[in-house]
Amino acid sequence: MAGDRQAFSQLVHSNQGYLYAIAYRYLSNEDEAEDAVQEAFVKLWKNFSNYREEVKLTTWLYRILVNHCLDIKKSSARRFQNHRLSIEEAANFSTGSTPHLEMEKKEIACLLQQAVDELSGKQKMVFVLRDMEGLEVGEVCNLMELSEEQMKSNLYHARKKVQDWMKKNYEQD
Amino acid sequence: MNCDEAEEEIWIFHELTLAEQKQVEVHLLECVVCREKMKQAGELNALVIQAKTTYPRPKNEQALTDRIMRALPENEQATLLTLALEVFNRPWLQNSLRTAAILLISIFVWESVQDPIQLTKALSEKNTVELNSFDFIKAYQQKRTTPQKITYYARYQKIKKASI
Repeated sequence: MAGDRQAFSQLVHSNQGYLYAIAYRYLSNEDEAEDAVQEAFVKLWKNFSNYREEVKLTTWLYRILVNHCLDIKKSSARRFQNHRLSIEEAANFSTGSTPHLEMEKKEIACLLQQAVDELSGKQKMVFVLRDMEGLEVGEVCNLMELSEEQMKSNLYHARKKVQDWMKKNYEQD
Repeated sequence: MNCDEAEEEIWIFHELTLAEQKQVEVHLLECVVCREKMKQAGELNALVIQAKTTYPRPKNEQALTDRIMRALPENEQATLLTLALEVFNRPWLQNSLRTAAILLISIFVWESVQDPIQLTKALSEKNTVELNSFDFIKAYQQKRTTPQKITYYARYQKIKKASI
């Protein structure tokens, strides 16, 4: 059991960053993103005995996270007000280039995040997974349990809305 | 291909098959409006690529790992029961069930404070039947109990005669 926990700790350490990025980009809130990542790992741990080897472990883990995020969105208790990223939160975006370029990139990332916030649940998740995280079409369909047509339709609406929002806000700034 | 057909395909150009991309390209050659849309889609793509290089990270990665490891239950194994109950952990389902429960309780309370139902289309008052009372089964009860009393009485008379 101790060995299991140690191995699991490695799994957590190597995957939490990627999961956090998805959760943060979807939820736009640090605490909620950390809670979502924790919830995904706890669910994986509890249901480990049901793991089928034909599904990649990380795929299963990401699917748990995606479903959890979509469920949070469905909950009427959660207030999805237009969240605006603060300077402190923006500072948690890591880039790794010169300070000036870094500032500009952070600004774009913040604006894009605000545009993404305007999207509805599935459109937002499709956009985050495909455009922000760069997953393949098949992977997005697999994680979200959508057909290719549904995925493309959501992606079309998401991109168009994001473009409209950016045009309205980015060009004015 | 016309502009309406091209509209969606322009925004998901990189998700199309090569044959579909070719069709869009042919349309773009002859349509200025759609070329402008394609340009906008390209601009968004460029912004996303720039934004992608900034990656959100947890404030303290080790602290998050520790927190997750502390949250793991000691010996919990998934059983059929826990898997079945897992469904109820979804917040939207919990809220739906709460709403349904409140609605049912409200209906129950509302019904209980209402007057007994009366048949409003009866021709006269004597034809009115009041439900929620036992009046209408009294006659039936009498019919059922009276012959039994006669039987017992007759049996008593019979026994009495025999003893004399």
